[in-house]
Amino acid sequence: MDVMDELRGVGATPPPRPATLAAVRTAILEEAREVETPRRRRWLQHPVLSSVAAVVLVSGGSAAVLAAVSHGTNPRTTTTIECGVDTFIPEETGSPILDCYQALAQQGGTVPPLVGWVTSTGLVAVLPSGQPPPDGSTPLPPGFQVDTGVRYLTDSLGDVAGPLLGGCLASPAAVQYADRQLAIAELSGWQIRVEGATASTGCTSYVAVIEAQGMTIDLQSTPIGSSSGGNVTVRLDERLHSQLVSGPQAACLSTAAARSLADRDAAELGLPSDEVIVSDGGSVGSGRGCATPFVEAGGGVDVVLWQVPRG
Amino acid sequence: MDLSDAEVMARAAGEPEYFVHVFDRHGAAVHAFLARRIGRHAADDLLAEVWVQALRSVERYDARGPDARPWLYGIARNMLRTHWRARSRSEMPLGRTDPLDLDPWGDVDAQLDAARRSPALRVALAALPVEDREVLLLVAWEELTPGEVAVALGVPAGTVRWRLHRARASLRRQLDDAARAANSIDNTMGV
Repeated sequence: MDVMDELRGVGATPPPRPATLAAVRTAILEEAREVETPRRRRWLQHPVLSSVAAVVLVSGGSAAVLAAVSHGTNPRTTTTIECGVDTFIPEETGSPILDCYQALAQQGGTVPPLVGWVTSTGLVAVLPSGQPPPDGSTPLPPGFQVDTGVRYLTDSLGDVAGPLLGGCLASPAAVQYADRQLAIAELSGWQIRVEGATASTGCTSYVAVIEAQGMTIDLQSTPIGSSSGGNVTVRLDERLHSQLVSGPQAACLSTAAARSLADRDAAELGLPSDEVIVSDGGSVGSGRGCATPFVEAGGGVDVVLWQVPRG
Repeated sequence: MDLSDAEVMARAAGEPEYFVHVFDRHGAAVHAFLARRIGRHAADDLLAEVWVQALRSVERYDARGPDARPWLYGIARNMLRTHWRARSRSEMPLGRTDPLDLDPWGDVDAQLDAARRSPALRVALAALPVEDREVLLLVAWEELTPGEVAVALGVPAGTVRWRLHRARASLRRQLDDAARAANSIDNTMGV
């Protein structure tokens, strides 16, 4: 008997009791109601980076980006606030005054009383009480909250661990993802555009520029290499495996030949050579073997080539 | 109309109550996953926690995966680790505070079907590295493909294939050795 069959035999387990399933079903429905009603409140606590921060990081042109998200905007759809003079922070909690308070508190010292303003261009500014606001500003209405749908959108599309930045998505899939996030945020009538270059090999990353007033999302695409982390690692792993182990043209190679192949594939996927370490893992068993790749993501990408007997 | 898991999950992201359909599809499988590792009663207790956590994380589901089970097992596995670590801490001798090198095999072993298990299989399984054993059991018990195991564990598929290869080879070798040793004893005793 095969060891897998033997294992399957010992792993048999009786089905759950109907009462258990019913109790879990009830728990799910209760949680669903919790999620549904205060979902907007939960978004306020969502601890991911704002897309504004991601855009600034990637484009290196913060002034242009800030203009893109705040020009002529409705203050309720702002994604960035001015906290003190000429200091811009991402809007995170829904309350600009709270965001600014927290940002100043992190710098240490006593935070003065703060007052919120809407400038003549629609930008939200929070200044110490007594400091004059820009000309034409009006006080922020009491209880003002930024639109949580737009904030959810900026969170989800700008998540540095999300599929747009690191998921190696093709252009239609990126649009589909953005569209799905719009649906979740209950925003309709928006337009999604893709601009920029895409990778012929390797991955394409997308930075979302959200223009809430014009209801548009521009997905700015850039071919990337290793910055997508694990996804490129997985692709490298799959390529090597198909060439060395189980693909239609898999070859039984020596470690040296497989090393050349791994180096070439990594370069083709856009991985910088100093981020890829290909090493010899040794042999498994006795006799001649075939190179078998073992790919792990760490600080860079480790490719360990083992000589494993085939049969 | 039969929706794929990915389609059901996408809908659940906007309508959380729809998530109960995912539970109807895979509730028993996740319970079996837990029961094989911590026993039926503890699985009953943990099952709701796993599904509530899954609902809270539904927006993180990667819609490219047509089957939600690997993702659900990943969540269940994290909950199990928390369960084992909490228990390990409470049972740990004074002076030891790091349960990260925890191998919960004792718990899993206790759940195996006693009528079917052979001492040699138990010994061989216990001797496997934790990560190899985990891959082996996800394939044998949960019937996942290496690609699906990779999703559940968050490691590259090649790593899974390698661990599976190593685990099967080790298990087969140990069972063969045990069988040879048993034959040798039988021959010596003239059985």
